[in-house]
Amino acid sequence: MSLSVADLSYTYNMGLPTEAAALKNISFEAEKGEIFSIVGHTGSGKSTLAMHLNGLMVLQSGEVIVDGIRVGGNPSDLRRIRQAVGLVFQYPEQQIFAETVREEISFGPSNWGLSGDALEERVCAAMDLIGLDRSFAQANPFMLSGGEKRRVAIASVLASDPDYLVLDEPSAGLDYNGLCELTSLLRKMSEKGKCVIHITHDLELALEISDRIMIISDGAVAAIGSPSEISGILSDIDIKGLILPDILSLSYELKKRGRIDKITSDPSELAEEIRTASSCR
Amino acid sequence: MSSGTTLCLEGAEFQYPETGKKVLKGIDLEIRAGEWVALLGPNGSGKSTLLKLFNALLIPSQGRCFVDGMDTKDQANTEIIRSKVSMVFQNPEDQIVASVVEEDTAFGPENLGLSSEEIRTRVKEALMGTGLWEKRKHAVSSLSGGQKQRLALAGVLAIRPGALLLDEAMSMLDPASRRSFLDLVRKEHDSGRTVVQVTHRLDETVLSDRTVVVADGKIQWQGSTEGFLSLEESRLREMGFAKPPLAVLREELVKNGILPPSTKPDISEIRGKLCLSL
Repeated sequence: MSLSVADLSYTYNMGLPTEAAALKNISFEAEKGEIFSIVGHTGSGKSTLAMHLNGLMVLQSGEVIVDGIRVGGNPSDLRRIRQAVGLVFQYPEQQIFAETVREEISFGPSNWGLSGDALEERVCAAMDLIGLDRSFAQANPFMLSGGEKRRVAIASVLASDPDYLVLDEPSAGLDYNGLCELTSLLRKMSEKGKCVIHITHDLELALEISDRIMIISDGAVAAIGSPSEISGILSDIDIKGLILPDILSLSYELKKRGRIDKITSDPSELAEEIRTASSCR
Repeated sequence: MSSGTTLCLEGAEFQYPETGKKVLKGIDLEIRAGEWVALLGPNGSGKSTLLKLFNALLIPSQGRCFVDGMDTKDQANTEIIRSKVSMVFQNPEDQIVASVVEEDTAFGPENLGLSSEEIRTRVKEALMGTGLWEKRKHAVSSLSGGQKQRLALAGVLAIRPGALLLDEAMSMLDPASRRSFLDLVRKEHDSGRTVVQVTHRLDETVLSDRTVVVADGKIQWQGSTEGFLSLEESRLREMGFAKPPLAVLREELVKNGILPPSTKPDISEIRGKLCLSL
């Protein structure tokens, strides 16, 4: 069972002078149990792609198939697709609407038929998973800080227990502790057999947590591979908007010049390599 | 050279009337004209509220806030304060008002009552500077999240304020755009503008002069950014931060005598010095 996308293309304002192709023949398959990161520059089409994955956008050409069900096929399948694919938007304000955090988080599962203690348990579990203190349950979500709103948005999607979790720039606006909680949550979800589709411009984070990475550039797939394959590709060719993290890029450069032996993203390890190289001179 | 704006808080407190929650608890802070201050702190610590005091979007419940000596409580000062202090919000949707890129950028200067020619000059300069000139005729709705963030900055730059307040203004930008955005901010700072930057990424703070850490509505730490980035890892963790990898590398190379202590935790500087010494 997987989420697959084949030859997906999408153009905004088709036929108008401002026509802009956002997606060009995108194809990939994301499996349950993996963290699949989609990385691209600002304006590369990442969010447009995200909104296709649970049928929020009407397909123009190509296919999106979730566990064998075609998005945009039979209208009665849409409910099953939306239950299977949970989407956390780039801006949490875009999906928050309830007056209390509890009401917000319980909206999804209550729509799928949960009620009473089972619903309450689901809400509390989702809050715990994302590190949102239960004292927030009665708070007005609109009065929370940006990072807290993001946690509420993620918890409200987790509460529906989707098999495919699509997160659009989930780390933006989170403090360091929030980021650590998020990465551990994503790992936990993939270990539980969920498919995590992590959409980001943060290449450093993607290299750290992903099983596979797909790079998109100007709406087209530029590369797909493991983190080490992707960092190798990025050290050789320029892809719009993406720069290797500083330590990794310095490490590649010094290795290419024959100054050090090992590629590393760990600053202490690189310092040791440089120290050895310096003492050999 | 533009003239920077001085920002000052004296015993400032703020309580949101809707929740009764006291978000700021007696803040004393002076930001000098032309200074670049990084304002850090965990989610919900009061950073964004503090920024909003500086352009009179919020007025302290207790204590006072001054902009170039003008008390923000006095409504007669509000208009001039807003022309001196401009803010780029975390979510650009909060400040984009027009449906076409160039019209949105022109909104601020139009409100200042400038001539059409001056407005056109400023719009062009701001859109060229933010890399959006090619998109000037495009619908705002066709821009990506990151492009909208740059548009929000363009709208602010077109006002030519004395102080720029950046509330996680780079959070939606890819690494290359973040670098060029930071470069733009550096140019604005070099031209004399005051910059107050809220961020969670310590690697974005290396260009700032001073770091102020806010926790639970109070100032928890303040000093030079260099001093902040040189704090022990354990102290940084206690405050909820992790040392940027480049700062770790710099420290170890300085300790081993490979880099001089004057080296900044800046990739170009470290790369340049290493290529010479190895």
